[in-house]
This record gives sequence, structure tokens and C-alpha cells, in this order.
Amino acid sequence: MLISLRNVEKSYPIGVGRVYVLRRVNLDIREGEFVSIMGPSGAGKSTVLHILGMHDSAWSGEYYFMDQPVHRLNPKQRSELHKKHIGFVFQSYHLLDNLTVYENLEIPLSYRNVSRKDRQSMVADILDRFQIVGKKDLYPNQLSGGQQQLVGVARAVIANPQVILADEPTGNLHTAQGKEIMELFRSLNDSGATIIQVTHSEVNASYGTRIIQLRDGWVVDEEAQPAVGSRAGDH
Amino acid sequence: MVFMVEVRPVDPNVRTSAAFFGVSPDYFPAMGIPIVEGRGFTERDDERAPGVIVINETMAARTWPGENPIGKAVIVSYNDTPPRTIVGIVADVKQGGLTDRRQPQMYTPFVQAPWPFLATVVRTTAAPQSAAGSLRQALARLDPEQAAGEIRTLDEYVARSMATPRFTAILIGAFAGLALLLAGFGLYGVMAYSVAQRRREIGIRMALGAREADVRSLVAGQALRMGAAGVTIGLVGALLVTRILDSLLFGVTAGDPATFAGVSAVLMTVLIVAAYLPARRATRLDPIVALRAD
Repeated sequence: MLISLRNVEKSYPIGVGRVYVLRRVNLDIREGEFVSIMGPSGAGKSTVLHILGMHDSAWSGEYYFMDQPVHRLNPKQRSELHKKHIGFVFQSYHLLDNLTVYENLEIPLSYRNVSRKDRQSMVADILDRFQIVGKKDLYPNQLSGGQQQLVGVARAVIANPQVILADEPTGNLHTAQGKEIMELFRSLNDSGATIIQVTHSEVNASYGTRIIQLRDGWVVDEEAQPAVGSRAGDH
Repeated sequence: MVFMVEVRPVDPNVRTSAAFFGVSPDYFPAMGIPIVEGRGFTERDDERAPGVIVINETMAARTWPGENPIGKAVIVSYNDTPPRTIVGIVADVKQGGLTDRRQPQMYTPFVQAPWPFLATVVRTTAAPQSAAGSLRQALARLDPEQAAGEIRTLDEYVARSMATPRFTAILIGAFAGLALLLAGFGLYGVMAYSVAQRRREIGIRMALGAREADVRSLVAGQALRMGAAGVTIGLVGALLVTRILDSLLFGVTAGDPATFAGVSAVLMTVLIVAAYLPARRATRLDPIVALRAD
């Protein structure tokens, strides 16, 4: 199993009591899956994603990532595990405004002990692969939302992670731009990446292989999507 | 005192002068003035002996550059006395105070150039102030009519000459310290503000894999770049205005490299201290909070 959550809970103290964001979440995700986490606002979707992405460490329960007990790792070990295997795509793109597209793509590599020469080659490859070579010297505010998210996805996959986590990746995009990004996710999934996305969109969820429904912090439903051949975009 | 070098044609446009002192044979050892070349005075250099003179290094260098002045003669415009032969060269002495510039100085035996005012220098092995009584008695034995004026140690005279510059230096130092403190607080404020402004960026970087050390070096790097720019601008400004302080500086020049390097190091240290807390705070930033706040 690639990812296993066992009785994961997250809560905040409020007054004399506690408010629970996640309750006894159990989750198994296999390698190569394309999972969509859905649910109403406040259900805990993004919280699950940030726990999976190891950005959030204030929770209880057990989390196994590639058989490694994340719940027992110290922050440095978690960070190393994250850097080695996980790419993250944000709803608001979260590109750095004062850096060019090229420099934004270089950031994750600069934190991964990749030599300058290798960084140049990897950034050149990803620019080519995502067909954004012509945008490399532009700043984020010179790009459309779709182009910014394209850069955001490129940044998430530049270090060749096995797992891509996407927090409402098309939430700020037009339908056409959203479709383009989802097609991109599907092609990444087809080439072996495991993708876990948080989405409100049934259409986006239909690109995946499985939907996990959250409500008030509880996993309330899990359903498999139709076979790959009939997934969105293949109609 | 105006002097002329014997055998050298006098240039009417150039007025050669030097401070002139009549001293007793033991003056140089008592004052601790080293004899650089030749000799000092002896008891034999009395009023009947040929006129002799000892000059300082500055006078030797200016009047006889590249030559040995020992044995040469100068005519001092004092009571139409005959030429005096240079018998020695002594080290330069600041006679008036630490602000004195290097200037030519001539010494002649007191008995060969008597003067109505006299100062006595006594080197003691006991505490100098305890010798005051015996000094007065000795003076009274020589001349009961003669009153001993103030008796002070050389350190006291030096301290007195330093009183005004010292007060000025303390004042300037206090203001400089205050300015440094304010600059430190200012830098802290700027760095704290900058970190607050960069919360989102820091959060993104942490979410993309930046570790504490990376964030620390990001903030410290910004502080150091700011500091280097500030110090460079400050150094240029200081080089332009330190001439004003020239009259208050003793033993250092206005553009003293060691002072400039030291002050730069102090400022950079203040900068590092001021940047430390904001940098540490930045490493404790929760990326989730920073990203959600966006």
C-alpha cells in the first residue's frame, strides 16, 4: 500500500471543549490510483490533503507512507520523505510573484540537493514537456490563471514525485483551462503518478479512479469510478 | 623661534622656525625622551662652552632631508648668540597637548639661553604626589624667594590637556551608541516587517521543501544584503564627512582603515543580532497557516 491512514484525527481546543476537523479517518491508497476527495466546505478535505502532504503535523493516529510510519518521524525526516516522493498543487497556484516562471520551477529542486547543472537541465525538460518554454522569463502576473496553474503543476512534478497532491487545482480556472489541467493530471496518472485531488467538481472527480466523500470530518463514502476507458475525456 | 642654517643661503621668502626650549642636561632622561642620534647635554655644555643644540626628528627631516644634521650649525634668533652646533637628535614630543602636530623643535642647554620662567621636571621612584613636599623644600633651599607654583604629575597635565577632547569624544560616543541602538531597533523592525510581508513566500517555500536552515538563510541573506548595501553607503558617507572630526582624532587618521573595518564589523554584528529573532520566527511559521492566510 502506498498510503494508509489509521484513525487519524485532528482537533482544535475551543473554550473548554474541542472542535474536531477530522474524526477517525481510515484510508488506503494504492500506487497508480487517481483519487478524488470530495465533500462540502469545512468537511476536512484540504486538511486530509495537507496531512498526506506532510505540511500538517498536528494530528493524532497513524499514517504510513510507503510503509514508513510518518506519525513517528521527526519534522526533518517528514520533510525529506515529502521532498523525495510528493508534489503539491495549490488552488491559488502559489507561485512566487517576484520570480520568473523559470525561477519558480527551480525552487523545489533548489531544496533537493540537485546540482545547478542538473537543475538547468530538469527545468528545460519540464518547460519543454509542458510547452511553456516561451513563458520562462515571464512573471506570474504576466500569465493567465490557466497558465499559472500549468506552471504550478509543472513545479509539482519537476522533481519526479510518485505522488501528486492537488488542492482544488481548477478552483480558480475557467472550464476550458480546468479541463486542460485535468487532462494533464490524467496523462501524469497514465504515466504512473499517483494523484490525490480535492475537488468540488463531479466532472473533475470523474477523471479519477475513486472518490472519497468526507462530511464533518468523517469519511462517509468511498466509491470506485468507472473503468479507465470510460473516464472523463474519453467519451 | 626663527633659525637659520649656517652656510646655507637664506631664502627671504621662507621663514624657518622651530619651537625652542632651554633645558638642563637631565631633561631628556627625566622626560623619557629618547635620543635617536648623537648625544644629549652634559654639565660641560655650560655658558662658557661653545653653543650646542639638539633638534627633533621632524626638524632633522625637514631641514636636512637625506643628510645627517649632526655637526651642522644653526643660528637661532635669540639674543644675537653665535651659531650653535647640532650635537644630537631626539624623538618628537607633543609639548602642548595630544592635538599638537609634528613640528620642528630645538633644545639648547638652559645655561646657554636663560629664560625668566622655569619649570622643573622630577622623576621619582615613590608616588609622585608624596614627593611634592620635599620638592618645595629643595626649591626653598635654592631660592627662598622663589614660590613653587603648581606641582602636578605629567599624567595630570596630559589629562588636563585631554579634558575637552575627552568630553567631546564621550559626547560623540554616547550619541553614536544611541544611534547604533536606534539603528539596531530599526533593523529589527525592518526585518520583522519584511518577514511578516514574506509570510506567504516563506509558507510556499516550506511547502515546497524548504527546511528551517533554508528559511533562516533566506531571511539572513536578505538582512546581509541590506546590511552590505547600508554599510557601503555609510562608509562612503563617512569618508566624506569624517574630515570634520579630523581635529578630534589623535593617533588615527580620518580615513583609518582599521577603524572603518571595525565599525563595519560592529554594524554587521548589530544587523545579525537584529535579524536573528525575525529569522527564527520565520522558521517557526506554519506553512498551512501562511498559505491559508493568502
